[in-house]
Amino acid sequence: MSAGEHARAVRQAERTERELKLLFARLGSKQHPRGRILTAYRVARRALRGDATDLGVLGQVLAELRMAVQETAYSSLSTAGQAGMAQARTITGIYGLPTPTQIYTPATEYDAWMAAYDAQAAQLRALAVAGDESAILGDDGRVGAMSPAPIIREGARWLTIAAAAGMSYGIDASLNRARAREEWQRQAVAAIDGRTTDCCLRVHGQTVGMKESFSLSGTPRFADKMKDSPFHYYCRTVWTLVRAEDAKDRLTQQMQEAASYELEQRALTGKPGAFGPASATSRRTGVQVARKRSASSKTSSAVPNGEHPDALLKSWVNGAHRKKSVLLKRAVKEELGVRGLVMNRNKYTHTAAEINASRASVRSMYDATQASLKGKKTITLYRGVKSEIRSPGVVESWTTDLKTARKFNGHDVMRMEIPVDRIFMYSGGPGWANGRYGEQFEYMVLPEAPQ
Amino acid sequence: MIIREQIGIDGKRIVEMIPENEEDERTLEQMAAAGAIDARDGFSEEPELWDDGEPDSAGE
Repeated sequence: MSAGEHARAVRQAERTERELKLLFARLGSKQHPRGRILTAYRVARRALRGDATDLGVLGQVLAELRMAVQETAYSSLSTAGQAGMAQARTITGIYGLPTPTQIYTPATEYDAWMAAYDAQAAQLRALAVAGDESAILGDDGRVGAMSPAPIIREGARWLTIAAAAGMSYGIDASLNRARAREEWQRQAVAAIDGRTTDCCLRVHGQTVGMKESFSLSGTPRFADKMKDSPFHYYCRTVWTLVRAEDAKDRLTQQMQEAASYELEQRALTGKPGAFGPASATSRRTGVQVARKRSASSKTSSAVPNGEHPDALLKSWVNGAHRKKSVLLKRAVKEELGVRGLVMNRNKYTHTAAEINASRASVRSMYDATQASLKGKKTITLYRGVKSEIRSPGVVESWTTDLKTARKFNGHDVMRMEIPVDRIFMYSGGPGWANGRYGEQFEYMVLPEAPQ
Repeated sequence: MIIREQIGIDGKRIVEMIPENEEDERTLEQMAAAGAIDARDGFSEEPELWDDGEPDSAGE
């Protein structure tokens, strides 16, 4: 049982989602006009202009188009299936389960995709026999029957199915080999961004038994209960494996909170996508607020010469010993006037001007955090300690998750009710974005309240 | 030097040393360099606790 395992399993699902997004783009869309299928159709339609009802010409063009679709379908489906298998392999590694060794081949998905193309080609031949070129190629403002849209849409559907099937195939094989008595659940993980549908936001974080179906309530959706994604066309949601005992843990709660926040903001503003979180769990809740505030505040107007808050945070969550992280610590010490060590094992130097220039960023980060915590007095946090004596950093990582804290143990774990005025930033708070180590439920804590 | 004592959740004593001036800071830095005290600050200082052996996605 570990929150770390769960967080890493969710990260793997996010990787598969990113792969699907790239594969969708490769097919073509308004945003990706050079996509392979879109381009192949453009070329084919141009070749048919004036000759669309000539069955000989049409047959030749359709054969070439089929080869282009076939090639894209084959390579994209293979990539999607492999992405699902790779997700299964990494997740079984995370949980200490046997590694699946079988290869998943998305042959039925390929047949289904090509069947959609063949059905369209049959229609086009029938329209050619009827001698109606405009029905095939359309006219100004109408695309006609020779449209790439249904083929791309079907393709996107089968890509998600291939990725999900690769994942299921690998996990099933592993659990069968393990003959595990442990209880496992499947958790839906949506790619939360500006394009996430209402349906996927509502299912995000939902956990079900291994043989059970997810309950869908949002729109669009193919059905009310579905065992696996895609839940609609162009769906990127995939599932990840979670121990039954962790199914309702803090991470799941954060995932559902992040999705609820997105839904609330869309309802309030009527602007889908303006509030997309950076990951499955972290909300950009305060980013817009903090930036609006900084644009009008005196402290933040000095930022141009210093490091931007996003750059300072990014450095911190990816390496607390990096040069920018040391700059962050020095600027915290100067701006907030707190006592504590500035650990700098690589002996980086910064000029007073560099430190001063970043003080405004530090102030805006702190102020945005404090505004978001208004009304709270303390937060229970944990931190692992390696030896009996410790020296607090001028800012340091604590967590709400005891299991995460225990990772840093060696001597004992501290548990403290930290006053909110000592919280500098926190996971899920304004401007927060997790680093390469994923969700750690981190709170950046000051050793004392700012002076 | 400010000294604070805490008891960990497993019942062990934890002594916190907080520097009050530059001399204290130098002392603590020397102790940290010698491994005599725990002076880690960020979780990301110990990537080996988190890496799953997978390279970062080149996707986004």
